[in-house]
Amino acid sequence: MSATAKTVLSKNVPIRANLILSRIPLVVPEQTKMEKQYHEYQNQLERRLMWTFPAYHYFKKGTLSEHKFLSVQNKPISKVPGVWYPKGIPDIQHGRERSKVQEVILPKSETGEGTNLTRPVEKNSIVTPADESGNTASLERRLRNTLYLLVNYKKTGWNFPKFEIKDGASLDIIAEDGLRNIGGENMNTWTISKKPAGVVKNKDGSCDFFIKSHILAGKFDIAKEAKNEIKEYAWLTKEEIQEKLNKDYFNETEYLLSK
Amino acid sequence: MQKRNYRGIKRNNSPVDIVLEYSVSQEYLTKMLSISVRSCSCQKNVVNLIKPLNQVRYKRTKSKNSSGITPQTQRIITQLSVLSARKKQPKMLKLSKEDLIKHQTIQTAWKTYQDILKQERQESLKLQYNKIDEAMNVLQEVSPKLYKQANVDESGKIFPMELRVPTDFPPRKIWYHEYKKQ
Amino acid sequence: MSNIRSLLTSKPVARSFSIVSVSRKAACSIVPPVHHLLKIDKSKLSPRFEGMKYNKDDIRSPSYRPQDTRQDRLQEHYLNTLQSDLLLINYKHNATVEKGLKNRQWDGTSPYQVNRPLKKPKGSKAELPDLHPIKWNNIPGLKSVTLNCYVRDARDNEMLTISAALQLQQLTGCKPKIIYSKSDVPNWKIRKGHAMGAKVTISGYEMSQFLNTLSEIVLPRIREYKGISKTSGDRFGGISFGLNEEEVKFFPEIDLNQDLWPKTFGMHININTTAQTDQQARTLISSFQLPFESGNAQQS
Repeated sequence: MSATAKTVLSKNVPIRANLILSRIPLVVPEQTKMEKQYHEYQNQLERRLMWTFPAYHYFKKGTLSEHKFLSVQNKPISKVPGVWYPKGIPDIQHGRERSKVQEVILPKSETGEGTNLTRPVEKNSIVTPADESGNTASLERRLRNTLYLLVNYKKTGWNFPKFEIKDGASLDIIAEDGLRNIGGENMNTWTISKKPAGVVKNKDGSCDFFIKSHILAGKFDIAKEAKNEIKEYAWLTKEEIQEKLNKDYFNETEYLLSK
Repeated sequence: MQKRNYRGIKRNNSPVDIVLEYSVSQEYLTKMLSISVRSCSCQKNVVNLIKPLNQVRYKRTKSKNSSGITPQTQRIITQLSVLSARKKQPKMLKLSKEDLIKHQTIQTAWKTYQDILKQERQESLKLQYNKIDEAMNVLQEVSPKLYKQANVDESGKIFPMELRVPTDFPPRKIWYHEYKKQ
Repeated sequence: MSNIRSLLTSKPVARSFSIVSVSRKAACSIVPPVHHLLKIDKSKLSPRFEGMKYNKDDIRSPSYRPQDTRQDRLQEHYLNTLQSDLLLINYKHNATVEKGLKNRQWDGTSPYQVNRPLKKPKGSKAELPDLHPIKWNNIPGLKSVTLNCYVRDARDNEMLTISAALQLQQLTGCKPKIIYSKSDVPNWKIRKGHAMGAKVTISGYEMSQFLNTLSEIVLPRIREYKGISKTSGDRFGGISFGLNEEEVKFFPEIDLNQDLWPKTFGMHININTTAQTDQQARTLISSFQLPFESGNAQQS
C-alpha cells in the first residue's frame, strides 16, 4: 500500500529532461611541457636503438632510384688503420655507424617540390576564425576541447537545454525531440544511452535528469517558435560553462563535463 | 680442409702471364658441393703451370653470388635479411652512472605522473557511476514508467561511424554544417 | 560414508595426479633433506651476460625498447570521451555478479569418487567466468591485436611463410613469428612441424596506429565492405575478422611498394579486449570507427 501511495505522491513532482549535447574534440589535447619532453626523449632513444634501414629491400640494386637514394645519404666516417678517432673508432655495418642514430633522407624530385612522400606536412592552424572573433555560437572553436551546448533562456538565464516531460515518451526521446523543436531539424545527434547520466533535485521538489548526447553533423539554429523563449545559445568548454552557470548548479553538474 | 683456391688465368697466350690467385673461401653454396672437384682442379692447375694454356677468359657477365640462384630465391633471401637482426642492430647503450640515474629518475617521474592521472580518471569515473546509480534510483522512485523505459539492456549498442577519432592536426574542413534531415 | 563426504569437501592440495601439474613442480626436491631451495639460473651468474640480469623495461637490458614515444590519439580519445560513454551504455541498474557455470561436486555415493576430478558443468565443456557488472574500474578497453596469417600454399612451398612474415612486419613494425602446424592432417596434406604462416601480437602505440590505418585508410577503400560480422566473437570479449589478399593491398605500406609485393597474403585480425562479453567488445570496437554488419546505423 505504502509503495503505491509513494508513487501517487511523486507523480506530482515535475520532471525535466536536460540534454548534455557535446561536440567531442576534433584534435588531440595539447601536451603539457613534461609530456612533450618525455615523448621527445623516448623518441630519441627509440631512433637510436632502431635497426638499420634495409634500403636494399626498397631500392633494387643497380636501379636509378637506388642511385638517387644513396647519393643523398650522409656517408659515415670509415675506419682507416693508423688513424686516431677522437669520437671513438667507427663501427660501420650496412653503411650505418652503429653507435649513432641513422638518418634516412628521402631524395627530392628534380622539380624541387617533393613528391607526395617528401612534401613537408602543412599543418592547419589550431586557432580558427571563430576563435579569433570570439564567436561562441560556432562549432568550429576550441578544437582541442569538448564543447557543450548552453542556452540562454529569457526567464532563467544560461542553462543546459531543458524539456518538460510528455506522456508516453522516454527521457531520451523527450530530450532529442525537444532539441529539434528549439534548434531545428538539421542536426545529426547520437544519444549515448536511454539512461540518465545524473540528476539534480531542486528545492521546489522538481527533478532534472541529464541525458548525454553527441552532435555529429549539422548545426544548432534557434527555431522561429523558440525565439520568444530563448535569447541566444553557445558552444562552451567546461571552464567557460563555469563562468556562465551559477556556482551551486555547476558544482552539481561538473562531473558530467570533460575537458 | 684446404682453404685456398688456385686459379690459373692466361692472357695473350703467354706462359709468363699466368696468374696465381688465391682468396679466402667464401660462403657459397657451390663451394660446399665442390670439395672433391677442387682437388682435381688443383692438379690441373699444376699441369697448367707447365703447359701453355689456350683458353681465354672473357669478362664476367654473371655475378658470383647469383650463379644458380633464381630471382625468386634471391627475393626470399632479401626478405629474410630484412626480417633478421643480423648486421642491423645498433650498439647497445652504455650509460655512465650519472646518466643511468638520470634516466631512472625520468622513468620514475613519468610513472608517478601516469599513476596520478590514472587515479584522477578513476575518481571521476567512480563519481560518474555513483551519479548514474543515484539518477536511476531517483527515477525509479519518481516515475516508474520513465524508469521502465530507461532501464533497458543496451549491451551491443554500436557507435556511429560519424563519431571520429580526433586527429593530430585540424582537418581542412572542420565541421560538416550542411547536414539535412533525411 | 560420512568419511567420504568429508574427504570430498576438503580439496586435495598437496597431491595431484594430473600431468599438467608436472610443469608447475618445484625444480628441486621438496623431500627432506632439502639441498637447494632456489633454482639457480646459471646464465645469470656469468659476468659475460651482464644485460640478462635486468628486466626488459630496464635500459641496461639488451631487449630494452622505449615506450610512450609519442602521443597516442586513439588512447587519448578513449580516455577523454569513450570511457564515460561506455560506462553509461553498459550500466545496469541493481546489477549483481552473474555466476558462470562451474565444475560440480560429486554426490559422494561411491568411494571411487574420492580424488576424482570434479564433474564438468552442465552445458559446457569447461568452467565459465563470472560476469561482473561494469563499474568505474572494469570499463572495457583494448588489450592487444593479433594478426594471424595462415598461408595454405605454404604446404608446398615453405618459403611463402617468410613473405607472409615480412608482410606482417611491414604492416605493424613489430617482429612476427613463424607458425608451424601442430599435427598431421592427411586430408589437407599437412604435415606436423611444417611452417604454415606467421603471426604477430601488437599492443600500445603500434596497435593504435594499426587500428587507425585500418579504419581510416584500408576499410573505406574496400568496395562494398559489409563490415565485421555480428556473429564474430569468442564469447569472452575477443572479436576477429579477416582481410583477403586483395584487401591487404590497400595498406599504404604495400600500396606504395606494389612491385615488391607480387603476392600478398590474407590475414585474420583478432582484437583482444578487456570486455567480458562479445556485446561489450562490439560496442567498444565500433567506437574506433570499425564498421559492423548492417552498418553502424544510428539508433535514435
